[in-house]
Amino acid sequence: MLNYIIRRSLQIPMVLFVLSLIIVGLMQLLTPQQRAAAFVKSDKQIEHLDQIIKKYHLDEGFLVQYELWAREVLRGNLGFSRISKEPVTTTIRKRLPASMELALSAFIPIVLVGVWLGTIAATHRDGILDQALRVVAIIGWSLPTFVMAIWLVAWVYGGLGWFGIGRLPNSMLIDLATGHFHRYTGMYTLDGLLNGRWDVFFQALKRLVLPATALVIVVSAGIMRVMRSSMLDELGKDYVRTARAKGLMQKAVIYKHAWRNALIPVITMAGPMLGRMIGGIVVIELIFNFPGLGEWAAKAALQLDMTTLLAFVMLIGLIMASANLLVDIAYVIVDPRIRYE
Amino acid sequence: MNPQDMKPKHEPWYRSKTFKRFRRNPLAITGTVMLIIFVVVAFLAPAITAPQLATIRSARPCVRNLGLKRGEVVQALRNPLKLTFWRAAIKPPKSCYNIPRAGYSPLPKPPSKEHPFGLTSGSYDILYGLTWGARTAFYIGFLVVGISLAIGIVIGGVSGFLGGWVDNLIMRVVDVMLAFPRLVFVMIVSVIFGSGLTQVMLALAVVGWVGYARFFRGDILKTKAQDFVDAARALGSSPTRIFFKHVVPNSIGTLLILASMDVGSIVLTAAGLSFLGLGAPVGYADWGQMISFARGYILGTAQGTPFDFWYVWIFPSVVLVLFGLAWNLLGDAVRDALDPKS
Amino acid sequence: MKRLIVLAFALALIGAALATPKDTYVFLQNSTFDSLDPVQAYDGASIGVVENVYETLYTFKKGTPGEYTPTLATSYEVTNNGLSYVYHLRKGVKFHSGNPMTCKDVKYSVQRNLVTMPGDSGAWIFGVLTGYGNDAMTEAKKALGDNASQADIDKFLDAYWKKIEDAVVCDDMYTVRFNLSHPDVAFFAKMLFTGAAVVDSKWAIAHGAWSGTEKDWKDWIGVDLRTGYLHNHASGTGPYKLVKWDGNTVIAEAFDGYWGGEPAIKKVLVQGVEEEATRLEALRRGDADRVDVSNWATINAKVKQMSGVKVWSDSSWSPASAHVVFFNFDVQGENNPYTGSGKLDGNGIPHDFFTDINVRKAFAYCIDQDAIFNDLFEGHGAWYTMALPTTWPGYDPTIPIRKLDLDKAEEYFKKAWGGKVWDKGFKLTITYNAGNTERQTVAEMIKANVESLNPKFKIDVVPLQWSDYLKAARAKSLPIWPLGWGADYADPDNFIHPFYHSEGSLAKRQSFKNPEFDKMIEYARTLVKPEQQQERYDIYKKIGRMAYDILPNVPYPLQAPFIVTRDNLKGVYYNSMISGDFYWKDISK
Repeated sequence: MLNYIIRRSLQIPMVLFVLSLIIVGLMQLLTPQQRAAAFVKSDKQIEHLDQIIKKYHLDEGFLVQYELWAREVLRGNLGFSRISKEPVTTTIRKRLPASMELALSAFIPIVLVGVWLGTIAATHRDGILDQALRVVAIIGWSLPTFVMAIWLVAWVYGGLGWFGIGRLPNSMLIDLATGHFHRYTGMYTLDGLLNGRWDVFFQALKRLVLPATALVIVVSAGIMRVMRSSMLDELGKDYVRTARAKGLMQKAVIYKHAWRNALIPVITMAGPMLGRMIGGIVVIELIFNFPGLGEWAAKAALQLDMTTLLAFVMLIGLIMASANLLVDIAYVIVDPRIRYE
Repeated sequence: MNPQDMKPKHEPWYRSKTFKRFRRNPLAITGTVMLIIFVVVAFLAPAITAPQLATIRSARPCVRNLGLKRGEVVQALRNPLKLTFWRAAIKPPKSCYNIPRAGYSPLPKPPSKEHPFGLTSGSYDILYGLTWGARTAFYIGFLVVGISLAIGIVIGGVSGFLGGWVDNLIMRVVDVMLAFPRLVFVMIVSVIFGSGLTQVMLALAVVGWVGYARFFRGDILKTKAQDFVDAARALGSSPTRIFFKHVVPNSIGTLLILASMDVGSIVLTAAGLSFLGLGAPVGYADWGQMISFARGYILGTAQGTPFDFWYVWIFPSVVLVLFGLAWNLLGDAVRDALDPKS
Repeated sequence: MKRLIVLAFALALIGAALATPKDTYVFLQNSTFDSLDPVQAYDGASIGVVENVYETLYTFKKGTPGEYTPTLATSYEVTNNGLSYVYHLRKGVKFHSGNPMTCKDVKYSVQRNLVTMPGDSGAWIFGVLTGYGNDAMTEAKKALGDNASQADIDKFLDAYWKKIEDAVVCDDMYTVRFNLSHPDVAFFAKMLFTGAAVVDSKWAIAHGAWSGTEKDWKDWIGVDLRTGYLHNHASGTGPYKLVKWDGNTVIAEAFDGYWGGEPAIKKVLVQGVEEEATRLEALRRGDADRVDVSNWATINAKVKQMSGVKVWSDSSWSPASAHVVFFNFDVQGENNPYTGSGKLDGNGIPHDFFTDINVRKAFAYCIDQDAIFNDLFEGHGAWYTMALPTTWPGYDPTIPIRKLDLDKAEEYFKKAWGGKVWDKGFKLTITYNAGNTERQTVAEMIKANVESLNPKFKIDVVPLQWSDYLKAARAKSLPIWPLGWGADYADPDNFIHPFYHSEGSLAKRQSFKNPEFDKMIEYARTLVKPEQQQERYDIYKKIGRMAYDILPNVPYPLQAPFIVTRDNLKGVYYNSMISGDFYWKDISK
């Protein structure tokens, strides 16, 4: 087991290496002028285009560019982001908490809703409730994140005037910047509590509701489907039948034995779910004016800022690879039948 | 004994248990009906939008390329006995995919007689964008699935057939790509390929093959282990022959069905990219872009009036969601039918 | 009880928005900031902050772009036949750090432009001080070739430094003299550009910026100042000091030691919000005092429905920019995707297609200027007869404008290239910057009108992503494209030279060359004395009139400016040379 973990951990740098090669390689498909897009912002600077290309080595070949980047990265310098106009590491430090806050606030509802509805569907197999939930899940699965986000903005925010968009009201942002407000975590809800500022906590929470809801709707459908089928699997197994035959109350059987075992396949869903969530966050941050990592990366992609993109891809690669590793480990822990050599 | 006889017996597909299960599923039928409607709308797009083609000035290149005069457009495009009807429905000129603009005003206009679904921001005809957009959707969906399937089959096939370190290497790459959020990956690739419909489709395909490769490989390994393959090997057939004669035909059927169910999600992803400004050029009939046109108008004009410009965002987003829903209903039913356990 | 708590919680979440306090100004704009270093800042958003945190020697008078008032200087005189500008500095001015402002700071600030001269900044504007428009290394390579010896380069650099050294001289603690390499009538106007804003030299040097001496100047040649300390920290003399720049948001507060008295607005927040609907919603809810709005159609349909919101506009307001459609006189690039076959065979255009005046005139008559004015701007626009802001001296409003006239267009197309254009037809691509709906509309208009004349005329309209646009602009491969140009400094030369001189940055891209224009523009640059100004302006008018016939480009109307605020904001005015339209210190609630 330990062997396996070590081997898998060693694979992570390999994954990052491959990803960075892919990105730098793809950038080679462009001409130096195109690669200058992130460096030149206005028409007036076209006069100095050649000078800018030279300055940032945009006309160099693959190996030179990769070396320039890799050498800095090995020194711990991820480069300067043309999108946020500051070192990449600074931006990640500032923006990661925002995205984490969003992801965390959506995570628990996603799991709860998915598992709960999946269980209901399985226990009412082929009944009306099951069929209805099935349709709901398929609808949730068919809703593109951006459409969901637009509907929420229009109906709930625009129509009812509830909740909010952005991270905090502007007047509060000024207040916090000029007063004494310590940013412990970078997440406004937590910082609000830690500073004893209930108003900040509420305002921040208020602005998390809609984006988190959009995420929950889009992501939990998948969990629900998996939960339903694994629960059905479990309910069909001998030990459940035996338990039933023994006359134990049905509910107790379901929750105590089957339910726990049925959760195991849901854990494997964590990887794909995280992927879907990250994809969703990119779009949601754009629509809800929520300046996190996703918004930053989307802009970087649109403006061809290679340094930012590389950093983002590395970060996501790292998160995904570690998440998958954790899932595998968790799998062994909850299900002793599984062994990895 | 001939190894062919050991193969599982084939009965006509319509009598198979799988199909029966599919047919009895009400959701499957709903999905199928919805899809058929989409196909019909896409096919009849020229006929449906003939009045717009005839009246809006910026539709002229399309009308001219169809070889029509302005007065005869509606008649020609709505009469199945005429050659132009079939030409327009089967292979319309490229210029017809540009949504005609009834003016240049950035403000949307509500539905009217000339523009039954209204005009979206920039005075683009919404009905036109949606009907012709259905054609674009099918085009994107099938082509992307086709290309990624081809790549997936080749790579998955190589991986499953050769095995060993090649298999190992390919599967690691597949793992990396599967783990990475698809939307982000496609975004990066398509920006680098450049803007345009073809570029985005290529990007989707470049990222989309991985799942198929993995599935195909797994299926091959399963088939390889079956008795009839062993028998064939015992009779001295060469590995290549076995692979193409026995293994591939056995594995490919399910893959084809499953892959075709991805058309919906591909179209949704493409729409998302188009919404972000990646994809078809402005004014090209494409649902994602129709929603993107609506962006500035979803909040209406004042407090509590998100429906002041309802037509600009409700029509396109509902159409897009229904399309995805149709495919997913179908896909869900198919998966159910193939694997009765779940 | 439990239910009550839940209910209260829910209500708190739903609750009403907060309005901005009385001493606070919140501005949501459509773009984000590039750099707050005065030398590096060259975009509207960044300059909009810099102009309130730092100050230049003179500044613009409130509502009148053509007039100036002294700020950090008290007076100035021009000596030495226009080669020297002497400014007398105000005494008792303090920086945000508490340091007093002296000539040393002015000298440091202007020389920092000359030393660094980043290619993507506006530092080239001050090139007249050394005679070079690029940074020292680029100039060295230009002068000596790529494989010059180190010794030669060093010699060149030493000479360059000498020029920087001599360009700005402190006659005493409160008198600064600028020595120009050649007379420049626009120098005074150039000194109002934020690049020349006065930076606290003691503070800057202490934080690792250029030391102000020859010792380390070579390390700073062409450096990207976004990596420097001044990029996101500031110590100026302006009425506001920078509190924080965090992502899309800049927060500033009033500087209590400001020499001009404390402003009414104490706290300012400027935020880049790209989604217009979001900006408008914040305005409606009172969470913003001012927002950017893209066009008049939105104003009329949405903003005017809101209560508590005011739209400021005035017929006398005019933007400091010009928009034109360019023709390329020598389209370059092999396998050029924008010119079809590259021949006049009905499937393309030759590289010199637009050298025929008839072609240019025909295209000009196909631009529906009335539709731009009425449909796109809903009647709130300004007509342009030449590529110069309409209120600037040298602009001639009596020059006629070619409006949509398909008969005339047909007539000229028939004459073009000896009738070959009309017989064979042509195919070309009009490009515009993706996302710019105004340019897109102009391009589509030309397409629709030209194609309606003759079925053999084919035009594609293609949006270009910024990266592709850069590539094409550099390669000079675009045959015809709409483009806008905004002022760097308030002198007509900032428009006439780029648009009409063969070495001008825009005319160069279209390979336009007219020796007569060149001579007139160069001559006008030598007219530096006040009594010669009328003569200079008359030359510009003459160029405008000649340009009507020569037609290197077609100017088209621009949207009339407007400002959208909450209705409790007072003191709003519009000055086209101020990036934020007005200074924060002038408004109140």
